[in-house]
Amino acid sequence: MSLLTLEGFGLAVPYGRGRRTLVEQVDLTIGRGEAVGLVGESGSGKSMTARAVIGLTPPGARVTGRIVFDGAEVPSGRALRRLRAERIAMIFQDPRAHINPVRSVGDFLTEAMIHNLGTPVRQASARAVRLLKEVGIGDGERRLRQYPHELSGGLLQRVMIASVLAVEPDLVLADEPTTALDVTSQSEVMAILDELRRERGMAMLLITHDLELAAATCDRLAVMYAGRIVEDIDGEPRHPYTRGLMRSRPSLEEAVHRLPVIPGRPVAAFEAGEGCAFGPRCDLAEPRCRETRPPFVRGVACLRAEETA
Amino acid sequence: MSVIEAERLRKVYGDATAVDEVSFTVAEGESLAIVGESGSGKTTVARMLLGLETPTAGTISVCGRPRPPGRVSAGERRRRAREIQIVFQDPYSSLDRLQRAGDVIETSLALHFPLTPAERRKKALDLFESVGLAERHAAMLPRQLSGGQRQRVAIARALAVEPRVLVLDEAVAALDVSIQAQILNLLADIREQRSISYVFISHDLAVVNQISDTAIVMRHGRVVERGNTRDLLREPQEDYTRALLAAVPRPGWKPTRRNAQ
Repeated sequence: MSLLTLEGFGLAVPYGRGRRTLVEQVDLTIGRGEAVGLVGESGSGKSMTARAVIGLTPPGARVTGRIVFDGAEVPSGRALRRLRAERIAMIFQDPRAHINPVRSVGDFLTEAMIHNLGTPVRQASARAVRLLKEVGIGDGERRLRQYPHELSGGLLQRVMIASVLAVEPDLVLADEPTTALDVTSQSEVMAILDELRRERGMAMLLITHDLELAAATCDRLAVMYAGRIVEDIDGEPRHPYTRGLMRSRPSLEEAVHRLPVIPGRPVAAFEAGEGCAFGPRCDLAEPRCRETRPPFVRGVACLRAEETA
Repeated sequence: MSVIEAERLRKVYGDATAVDEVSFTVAEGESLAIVGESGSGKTTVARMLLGLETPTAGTISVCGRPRPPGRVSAGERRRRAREIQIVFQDPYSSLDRLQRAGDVIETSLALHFPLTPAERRKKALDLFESVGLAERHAAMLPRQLSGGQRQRVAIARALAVEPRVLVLDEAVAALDVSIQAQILNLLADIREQRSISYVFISHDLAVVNQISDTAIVMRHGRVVERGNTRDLLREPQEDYTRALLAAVPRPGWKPTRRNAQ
């Protein structure tokens, strides 16, 4: 049975007198211990989707569809707080924006243990040191006394991961966890997440704009564009958008005269017209692509996917 | 001829050394990449080239003219501005939030060239066209433009004074993948059409491979390796360069942990 299931998930936010759709018709499942990558550019709705899982929706948002976690719909109120405290954790892109700058690292790491689990302070500190060691921070005692501004971004993100481990959640929502980090720190943070996931059977939803990173660290990938999943990648990408993204990324191996670009810019769901949202940027678009949203068939939402495969 | 000669640059803040003994030259029309992670000193080097920071030691000359530290006249500052310009990572914080995109360019033109308002307007629109923006964008405020469009405005603003050197400090790092490719192509077009040199500050080795002829790799304020970009990425000589390359995700890549610190 799957751990997390999104069925026909959609999200619209108030805008002026009406609403703007940011996500629509998203179906997604994550099994226990599985790593799924949700890849997309800005405005694709990938972060909104992940945040909605733990009820972090913008004020006044209207949510449609169902989010089912471990057999039950995601609750609200006190039960949601329990879920966040014990079973689903989130790692954000910018650790500095999600940690209290005037509390020490030790306070941050032990607070949940002391208040939620009733662990004695001394034990909680000892456990925090062990957790820091697990994420590759050796001198834990010293780090506990430090404040966030004394730590580099890479170290702080590892502190965040340690705080997630303290909870031993079933699911980690990692929203661009390495985007603000250097490449060598990125490699390390992803390795730590990967290791912990395997050792503890944690499932992970990795939100990223980096196809290569997601492909290298996840079991499955879903690509979002304009608020919808346009492709579940299984082997070679088939959607023209995914293929375009892969081609337009510069390579380490060779420099080309000009990169093959996707024209135009990514759009949000509410900006998309009647037909395929990617249609206006697609070099394979036909008149029929402008008529209706292409249905999601065999892992891809493109009328021409069969021909291009 | 070199448009930039930087010799033994050093920058010290308190007891921290941000840049230590960094030397390089940039030839006319050349694109030099300065590669490094955060804290490597690459941005401090860029800021010293622009005169936004004063070197603690070492010399910089741009277009054959030395730039000693100290106050200079307004005329000299304008002359310097026409030699070297910069595009920052985040055009949202480097553009004036209340200034329309077209005015950004016109202000710069008015400061440097004796043009009539009509000529200025015409030249601003030409610049817009050369960076792939339309006339309607000129009336927009930064917040009404997308990230890619804002970066195009920042590039047009820098090009307005026809500089000999353009410093690009992580100029494509914050852009979406599909937009990043468009801007990289735009920069390649500009270099082909004008005699302009680039100093391209970046942490992204694939981007560096696409945009630069030569590269220096910095770590802890020092240059650890330098050379032709192609050779440097194919056959890195230093362990640090190899580690940087190994950390780039690609097909078949597995993330790895260094030793616990």
